[in-house]
Amino acid sequence: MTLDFVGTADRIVAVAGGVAACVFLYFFFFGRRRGVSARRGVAGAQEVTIVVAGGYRPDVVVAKKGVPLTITFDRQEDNPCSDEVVLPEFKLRRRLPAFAKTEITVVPERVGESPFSCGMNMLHGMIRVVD
Amino acid sequence: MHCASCVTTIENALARVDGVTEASVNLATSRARVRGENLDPDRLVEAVRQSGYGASPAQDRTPADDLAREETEVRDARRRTVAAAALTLPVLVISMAGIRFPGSEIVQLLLTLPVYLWAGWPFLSGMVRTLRNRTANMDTLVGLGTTAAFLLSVVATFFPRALPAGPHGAEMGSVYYEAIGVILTLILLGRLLETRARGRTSSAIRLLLDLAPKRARLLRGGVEVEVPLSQVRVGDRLHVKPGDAVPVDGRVASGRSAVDESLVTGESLPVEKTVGDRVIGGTLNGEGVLEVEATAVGSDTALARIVRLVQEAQASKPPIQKLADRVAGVFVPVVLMIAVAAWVVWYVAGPEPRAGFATYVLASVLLIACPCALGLATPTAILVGTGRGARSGILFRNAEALERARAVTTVLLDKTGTVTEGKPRVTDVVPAAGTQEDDVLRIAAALEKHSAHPVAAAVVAAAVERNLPVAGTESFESRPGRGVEGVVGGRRAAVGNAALLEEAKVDPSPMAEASERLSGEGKTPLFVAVDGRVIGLLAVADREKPSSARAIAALKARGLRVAMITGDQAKTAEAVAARVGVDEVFAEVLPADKALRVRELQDRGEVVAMVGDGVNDAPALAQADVGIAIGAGADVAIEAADVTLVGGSLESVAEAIELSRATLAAIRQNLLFAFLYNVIGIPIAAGALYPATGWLLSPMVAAAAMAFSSVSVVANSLRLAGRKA
Repeated sequence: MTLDFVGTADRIVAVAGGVAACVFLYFFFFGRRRGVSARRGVAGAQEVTIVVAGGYRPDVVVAKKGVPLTITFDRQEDNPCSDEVVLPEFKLRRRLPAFAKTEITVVPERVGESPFSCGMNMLHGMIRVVD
Repeated sequence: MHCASCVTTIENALARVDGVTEASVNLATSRARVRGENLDPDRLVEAVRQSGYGASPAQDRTPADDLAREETEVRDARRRTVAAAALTLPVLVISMAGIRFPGSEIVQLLLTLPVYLWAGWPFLSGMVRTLRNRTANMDTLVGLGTTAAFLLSVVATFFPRALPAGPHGAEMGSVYYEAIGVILTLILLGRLLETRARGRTSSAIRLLLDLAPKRARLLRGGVEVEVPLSQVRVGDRLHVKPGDAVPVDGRVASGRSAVDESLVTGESLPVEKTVGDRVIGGTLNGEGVLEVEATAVGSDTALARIVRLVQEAQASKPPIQKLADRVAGVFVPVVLMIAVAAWVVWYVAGPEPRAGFATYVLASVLLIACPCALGLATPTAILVGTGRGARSGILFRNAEALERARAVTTVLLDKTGTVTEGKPRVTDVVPAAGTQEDDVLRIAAALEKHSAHPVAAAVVAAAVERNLPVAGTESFESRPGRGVEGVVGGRRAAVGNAALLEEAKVDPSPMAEASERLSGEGKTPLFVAVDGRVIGLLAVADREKPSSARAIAALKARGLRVAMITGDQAKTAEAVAARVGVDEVFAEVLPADKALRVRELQDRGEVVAMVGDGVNDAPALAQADVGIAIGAGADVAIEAADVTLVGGSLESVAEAIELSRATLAAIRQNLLFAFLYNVIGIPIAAGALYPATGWLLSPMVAAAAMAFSSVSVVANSLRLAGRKA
């Protein structure tokens, strides 16, 4: 067989569109994201609610070191992809029941980034611990 | 509760209760969350009742809830799979048999529409959700792949001229309805199988949780009352009838029975329990009747701690997963870019009809890529491996320990309590000339009664057995690794080994011959000295556990070197070592120096597993590459240990190493399969073979391969559950 490389307008548009799509995909998925700071609750603990639906919203939580952080995972779907959340630094793997809130309390002891993910490491989030 | 106004009513009712600062009610889950100080659940329940609704204190989610949720998932997946298959079959027949009639394509569209929209809804909605979060997973790939095929087919149905026809026109330029149906049916079927299999991967934890009975027979003022387990408090007396599961950890207050601890400790034979013995919650009472005083309840019980330890281990990640994690984190976006690139290449340089051809390739790439196989490769094997271990009383602290245990080359066994039973007894009393046997024992017991060492207990027991009055001591000092010293009846006395005598400048020669002979028999000689003179010798011996020789043979059969470490003198240690088949002995090692010896072995290039009781071996256990605490019984979760063996059998050490090897092998196979599958599959789907062979992968075949790749990974992990640990 022979491959036809003759340049035509639609081919040029296709190449340009493809390159643009790849650049868009790169920034769409890997671009920097802003974090949401956990707020102080009544008992002095830091609190944040993360909506779980095809990902984590917010996916970056900024928390203070040494202060207990209560994350309420509000799972608004029954897709099995998000039925578990894993916080490796805190040795936690927790089932998140569908359409329900699950509270997890951890004490961030180390300044830096502490990632969390779904059971298969497809959906990602991060606790950014600051002094 | 039916509506938002019910929610408000209940929230207001709860907010009026004293101490409540915040109350929120979830309509979907019918749960209320109340915050505040000094809250009394009964008053909260009463407040809800008075507002016209029912309530009960929420229990933590039980394994039964998880099971019910899984069943709902499976039912839903099955319904969608069956519907998709039923609707796809006629489309497949029309397409494959080449049946053409006016409007045949419309009929196919109408049959495919519910498959795409309803059966495929989990993928479509999942795709939208992930994209809204700027993330991507399998749903994104399947959603985009089927949507591309669907849109192309709809265009071909209503605007056939929009897509140029070519040499492959009949195959490429027309509709792909049958492909969409088959793809979704296969992927749904794969997900159904995967959901079922994944449920089984965590069944070990569920089995452990099920061991604890839900109710206990509480004795209140001599009367038996059946109460929920949550009402049992420490100190309560409980009645355990034949065949009952022991409700909580406790101590036998009266009665005698054989208790089957196999499900908790892995110990195969029932253990005889009588007054004063400890019993573990969740173990099964035999024929006798026991009255048990509760010593630990709720989350403090051994069973709860075991479950917690296993769950923690399952949540951790072994180092081997790091690469998979890195790949999984970028996998789907990269596949999307590859799909776009493949589309562009085939659109620009592919055969006609280029648009159809390129879209066909795009769909194949999106559908063959399987992030799930990669994501499931390690966690499923860890879940099944740690669960399998827990069933035999082998608890790994984390996945890293599980990974490290595979590489062990030398197993270093602590002698006392590990190779031997740890219950030494006095076997010989040899008095020096002019001294009575009883005097030797009486003075030794006077000092030893202050010591916590197992040998001390043996000396005191021997004195008690002979009804000897044990004299009082004016002062006492323990000399770790050597013995004890003190003042008894105004005289300076010492009981211990030759090193102690040397330190005290006492000449051991009068008893040297007897000491030599007893050491040769594997007994530990203890010199007894008074006022700078040896007055006699005691020999203490600790029987080897019946399983030790077998266990050591099993370790050696796996190519491991086995060494033993002890504070005993060389002769004693060597006699024991010879009987059980140990290769190398480190004798006369002070407790504090055990870690040093481990270090020496490591410096020789050995990967060392140290096996000890976890109490006085903690530094050595921590120094070892894998610290294994044995015979933990109810005191599970020993801090320094990487692996805790709940039962006392040394045979579990070989099982633990074997399990580690098998789990790591499964992880490696899974990862290799997942990587190779994607590395080979994606280029083929992108049409890499087409220029040379004219061969192109159908999206249907791609979807079938994808669906079954993740199932095979889970199935491979599940093999671990069936193996004999």
